Amino acid sequence: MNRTRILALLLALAVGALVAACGGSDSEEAATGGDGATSAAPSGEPTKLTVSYSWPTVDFMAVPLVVADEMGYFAEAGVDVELIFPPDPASSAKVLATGDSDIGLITTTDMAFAVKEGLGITAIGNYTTSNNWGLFTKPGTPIALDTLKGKKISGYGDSWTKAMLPFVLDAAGLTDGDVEVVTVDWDLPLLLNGKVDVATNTTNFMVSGVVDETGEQPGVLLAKDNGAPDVPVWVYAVNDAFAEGDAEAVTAFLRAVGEATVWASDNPEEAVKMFEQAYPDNGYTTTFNTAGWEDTLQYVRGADGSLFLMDDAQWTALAEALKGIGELDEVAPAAEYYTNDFISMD
Amino acid sequence: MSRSTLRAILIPLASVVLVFAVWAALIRLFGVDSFVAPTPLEALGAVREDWSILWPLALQTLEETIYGFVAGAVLGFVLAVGMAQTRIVRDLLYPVLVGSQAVPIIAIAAPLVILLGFGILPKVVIVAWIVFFPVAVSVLDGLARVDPDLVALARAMGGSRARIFRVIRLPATVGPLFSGLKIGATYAVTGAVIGELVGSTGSSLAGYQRQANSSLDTAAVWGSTLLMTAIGIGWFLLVVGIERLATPWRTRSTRPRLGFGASIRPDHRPGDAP
Repeated sequence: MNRTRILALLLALAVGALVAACGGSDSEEAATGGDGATSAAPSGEPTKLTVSYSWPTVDFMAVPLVVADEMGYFAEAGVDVELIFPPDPASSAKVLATGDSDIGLITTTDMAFAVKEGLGITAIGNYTTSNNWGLFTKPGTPIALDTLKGKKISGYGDSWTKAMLPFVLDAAGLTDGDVEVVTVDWDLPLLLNGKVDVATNTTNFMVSGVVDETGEQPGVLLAKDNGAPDVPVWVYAVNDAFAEGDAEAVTAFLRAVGEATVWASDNPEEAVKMFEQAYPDNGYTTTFNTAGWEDTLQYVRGADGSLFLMDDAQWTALAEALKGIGELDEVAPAAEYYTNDFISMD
Repeated sequence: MSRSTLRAILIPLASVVLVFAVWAALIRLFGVDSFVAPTPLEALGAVREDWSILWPLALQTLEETIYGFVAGAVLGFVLAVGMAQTRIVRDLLYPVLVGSQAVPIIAIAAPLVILLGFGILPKVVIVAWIVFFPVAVSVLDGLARVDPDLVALARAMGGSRARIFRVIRLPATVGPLFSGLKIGATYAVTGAVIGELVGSTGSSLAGYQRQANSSLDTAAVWGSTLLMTAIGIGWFLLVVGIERLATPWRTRSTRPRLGFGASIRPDHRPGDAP
């Protein structure tokens, strides 16, 4: 056999392997998400729960989880929680879907896309109950709808910004062409250095960042007050297979986090101190963490004072917004996004 | 099409197919969910689906790569020549050269955007930053390997410094230059993408990828990665092509038929039969 024939044979083998490997789909496997239900823990032993965070590194939004652990709320509820971190922000839902975590803190857009992709996860409670995303200017620079024309506006290239910004521009009577939208990796230094006129972010991270750096408040234009839907940004979500196998643990987790959130709401400074002791290398200053947590607290309770409770309207409004920018083909029935079944009402 | 040409096309093609086959086989073997890692066909399908969006973005990334690559190559060559001429300059700059590559590029990318804005300039600088080093080191290495006896002979025959550089030293840099250019070509696209990630006006290939990642569209993430890889490979092949055209004696061992050197066989060694 000459070398040309050997080469031809190798090529044919490679093509054959490719066809064999790519043929057929694994849609069922992809939809199941994870290795199935976790068996109940032995009586008296806490149920081990792996909770994935919304960001690759820890920040003040982990305060309720830290407080629940440190104050013994998790232990009282019979769960033993391990907090893990995704490799990148967009992977938080994937980590949950693969079963690497049982419960996760994710963005509501992640949840909407997870339903679209059939990841097998469901939102079980709002972390924040309102839309705290907005537009920010550096201290001393006023911001209003009529000041946006011609401005350089930064975003992270994320779906949330892409979905919400058109609402605000529309309320200002503007279109994409009336502003310059730039994609950045870290907005704060660019804003403070005047390289962008307006940054987009959530209040708890941007206000605390600006206060930490300058000691002054930034100009804030909240999207929900300027045309955008008032939909929560973050939710707790569960791997469906895990929830089917251990619903009690999920309920217990939310109950403990609820108690911790109330405690951290009544004792914000102590809660932040507890967080910083648990994560001494969190990389942020106490000023940032305190300002961030106190800002977050403004959004954790619904209009009726409740924690976690979701409704159809918030999911439909979000899905409609995402459909409006072409990120979703269709708005799924609200029940596919969430359930309030794990929220204990006592 | 000659057999050698066919072979030159088929072998690399077979390696690409083999990589795709192994990739697909691993996905199936380990039961990896498509939202974690898609099959090659899913990734290629995502590219096909969004081709009208991706093509202009790929051209934009290619433009950043080309400008940065040329700037880096020129800078690297000039630096190497300058360093080869004067020992003190070489001793002074060599640690800086090495140090420049030890700095994580992502750490300087953000300040570059603050300093240079959101346009093409920071991307060009980042690509040049990546490309100039292999070019400078390779050319410097080539210059250091020039036969000192040859230089001494030329000097003894009255050759000026400039003429010796042009006739002896400069030709010695050609081979190493292309080695450096080929290394730089494979990394150049990465630099452009990092620049796009840190700050861009409007759309970019990196921005598309980030958006797809944000939408849990894993096939599109991998598809755009394939496109970035294709740009890198394409750019590498272009450099190889230019090298073949510019230095035919490095790849052709047959006797030239016409013109200068017709009586010289490149593969002729002393003692060989004529």
